[in-house]
Amino acid sequence: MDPKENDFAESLLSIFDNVLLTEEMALSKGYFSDLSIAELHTINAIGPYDARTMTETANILGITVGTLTVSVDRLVKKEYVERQRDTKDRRIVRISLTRQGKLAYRMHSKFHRVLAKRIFDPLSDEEKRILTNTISEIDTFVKEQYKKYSNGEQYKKIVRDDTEV
Amino acid sequence: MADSKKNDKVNKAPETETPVSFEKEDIFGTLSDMLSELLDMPKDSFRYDTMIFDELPLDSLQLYELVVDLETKFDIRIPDEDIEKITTIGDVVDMIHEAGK
Repeated sequence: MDPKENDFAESLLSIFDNVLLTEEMALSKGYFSDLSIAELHTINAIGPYDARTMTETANILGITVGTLTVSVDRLVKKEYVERQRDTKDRRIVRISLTRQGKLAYRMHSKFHRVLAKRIFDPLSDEEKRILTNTISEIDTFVKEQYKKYSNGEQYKKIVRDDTEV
Repeated sequence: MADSKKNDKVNKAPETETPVSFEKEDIFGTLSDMLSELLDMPKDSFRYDTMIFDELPLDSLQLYELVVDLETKFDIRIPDEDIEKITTIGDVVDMIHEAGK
């Protein structure tokens, strides 16, 4: 393996870990210490504006409606999310953020914006352009990997193929 | 007892939603009310040229409380990019006034 590749792999791993750790710390020491990262991501998927159905939200998060229901139940109890029945079709339940939920959403997205700004600001325009393109390619690549696992059932075979260099 | 209940119902204000005004004066009034409540300051402490981030003791959570409440009250969307452009209370009034057009 190219030593540069090694450094790159280590940096990637370190970024994943540290972004999550920092986010968790910011949460537990901040205003919304009763929220877990997973709950915050559910809040993010629901979004601050239009009410969403459970199916739409589950799709955004890439989880089943059953799993989402457990998370939403907890968020309703903690008063971050509310459920409403559709006025025309009573079978449809929509979920939306309460005032408290909207505040958590905005503070969380602010956290990521500040993080991005601090990385971005010292760069030249050309460096910004290259970084944005590269990051977007990495994002697409990682999403494709994730899709493979969430669609397929032969996980072990996929893992075997993926780990072969 | 039964009578007083009946009267309560009759005296209750009709539940029609009054449309919000996007006149600058009214927006300024609403904004002053919200800031006064949020920061526990008298309503007349605010001017059009009050520098929001320099003159008012507004922390980032309170800023978002104000933003979320304004979005709900005026049924508008205020993205972070727009918040970054704000300097004075007058800027907020103009932004909401524009959104109502």
